[in-house]
Amino acid sequence: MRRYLQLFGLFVRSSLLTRLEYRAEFVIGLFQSLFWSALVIASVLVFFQYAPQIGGWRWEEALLVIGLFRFFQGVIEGALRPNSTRLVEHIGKGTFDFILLKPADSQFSASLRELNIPALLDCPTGLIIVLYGLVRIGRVPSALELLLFGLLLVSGLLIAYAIWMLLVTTAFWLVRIENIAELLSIIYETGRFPVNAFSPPVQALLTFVVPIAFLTTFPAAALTGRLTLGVLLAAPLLAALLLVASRLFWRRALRAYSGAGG
Amino acid sequence: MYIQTEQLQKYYQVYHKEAGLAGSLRALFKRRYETIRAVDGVSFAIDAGEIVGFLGPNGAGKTTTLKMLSGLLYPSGGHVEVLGYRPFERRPAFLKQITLVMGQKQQLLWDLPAAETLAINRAIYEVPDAVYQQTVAELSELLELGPLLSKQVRKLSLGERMKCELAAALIHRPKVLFLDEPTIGLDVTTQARVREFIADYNRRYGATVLLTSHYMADVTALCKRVLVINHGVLLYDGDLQGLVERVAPHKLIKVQLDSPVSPEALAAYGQVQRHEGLEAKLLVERAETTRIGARLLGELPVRDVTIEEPAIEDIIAEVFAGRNVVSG
Repeated sequence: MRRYLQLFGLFVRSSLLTRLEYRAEFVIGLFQSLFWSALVIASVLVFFQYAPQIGGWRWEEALLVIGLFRFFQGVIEGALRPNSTRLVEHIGKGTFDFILLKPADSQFSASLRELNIPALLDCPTGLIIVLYGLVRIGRVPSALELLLFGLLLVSGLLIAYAIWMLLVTTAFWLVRIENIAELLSIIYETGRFPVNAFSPPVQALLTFVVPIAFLTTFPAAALTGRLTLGVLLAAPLLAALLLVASRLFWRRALRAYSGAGG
Repeated sequence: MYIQTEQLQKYYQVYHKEAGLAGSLRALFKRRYETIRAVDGVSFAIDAGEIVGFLGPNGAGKTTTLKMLSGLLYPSGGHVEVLGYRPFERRPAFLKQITLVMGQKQQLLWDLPAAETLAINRAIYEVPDAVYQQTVAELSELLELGPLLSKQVRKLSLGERMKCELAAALIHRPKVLFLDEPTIGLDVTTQARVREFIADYNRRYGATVLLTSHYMADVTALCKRVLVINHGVLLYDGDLQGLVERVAPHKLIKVQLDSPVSPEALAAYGQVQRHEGLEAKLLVERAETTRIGARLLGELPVRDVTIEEPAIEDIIAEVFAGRNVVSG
């Protein structure tokens, strides 16, 4: 465990050093992050021009969902996508062999190797929006609510990672996965609205099939007194389930890669 | 035995695509599969400290065999054991003792100095601090790295990059080195440098080396023993000199004449390969070479005689053409 933490530290370091080679990116990244946040907020608030509530959420409350949407966008673009791009490249060029021959877990080395640090700026920006939303609501969340929020946020992180890994692992067979990744990004765009804003079938889809509600709506629900016991239990369970599935799928892919049947 | 294979096999299913658009469309719905026998029953054993050359044309099965030995590929059949492990299980204890260098692929981080890759590998292999410092110092000396490790990899020349690549691959002091075309694309001087390094490393750490190369000079300089493989089958296993003697039982005598000689007169000494004006080439039995050379000098108006070994390239080509299949 300590070794993997040290290794992750080195991965972060080398990502940072790589990005620092191109310094202008940082400045541009910061402006991009702020610009997109403003755009997303505007695109949602436009709906509140016509209705005081959407799916039972007031606009101040919707800000929390928007903040989380930006937060997870930072996670996807800053931590998940760079690694999937890298893995696809490794598989194509055959340099994945080097990862496989290292005495360290290959899923760890392949999925947490690279961070796009300018893109990660969306994470703090997102949390600031959440904070601003709370200020606008004017209610201080209780310690328990904060704890539940933390639990749901971590579950959301693990769910996002696992879904992304399930997708990326198909690269061992498909070699090119940009189209599927693009599809997933488009579905993710729905996460900027509280899931209750959609019709029941779409709600079901975003909760059970592509569980984006667990990333943006449910953590926000924890801070606005909307959390149900069902969701609270389902989130960590779903996270664990998807993590195990992604692990099994990864191992299956490695077997196929080394031609051990499959 | 450090490395041992018995009847090692690797078969691939590849789908056969017909040429043209129509063929591609047909292949979309119905694919015809074909079995490629990349490695088809290869057996050999390598001892600790040996440097063995793996020879064969493209697609002969060299790389596939190396991949099975290092643990990247799961064998379709047969038995493989390296350092007492079954490579395809890729146990950390096994992986910490081997390395695979692929001349065509690089593990160094492109935008960063090679030192960063070294630091990451050090953490992955859990090399203790003191050992790491010493290894880096030794590798720097042997490879003449100088300031190369702290330059961005993208700014290095191909040769410099290969040297750093070797350092990154050896930071954990592996006991077994699998080198797949380690000198490919390098200029002659750097090739010689890398070759020397491999010999030094082998001497200093008693490491076992199995290497493939297209450059015969690599093999003649480094390997006493060679394995010759073609179409997935081992054709020869033994020392290089033995291969030369078996496959090429002749030597070539070049004769520079003072005055013209009749073709019949030359034919009395050996098989005439060429005879033009005052120059001739004779193919002579290996054991007879010296005697015939002396006779030529004494009996004919000869100005100069030179005896040549046939080029190893030609000998190998001969083996691959299947004209002289031998087993060691």
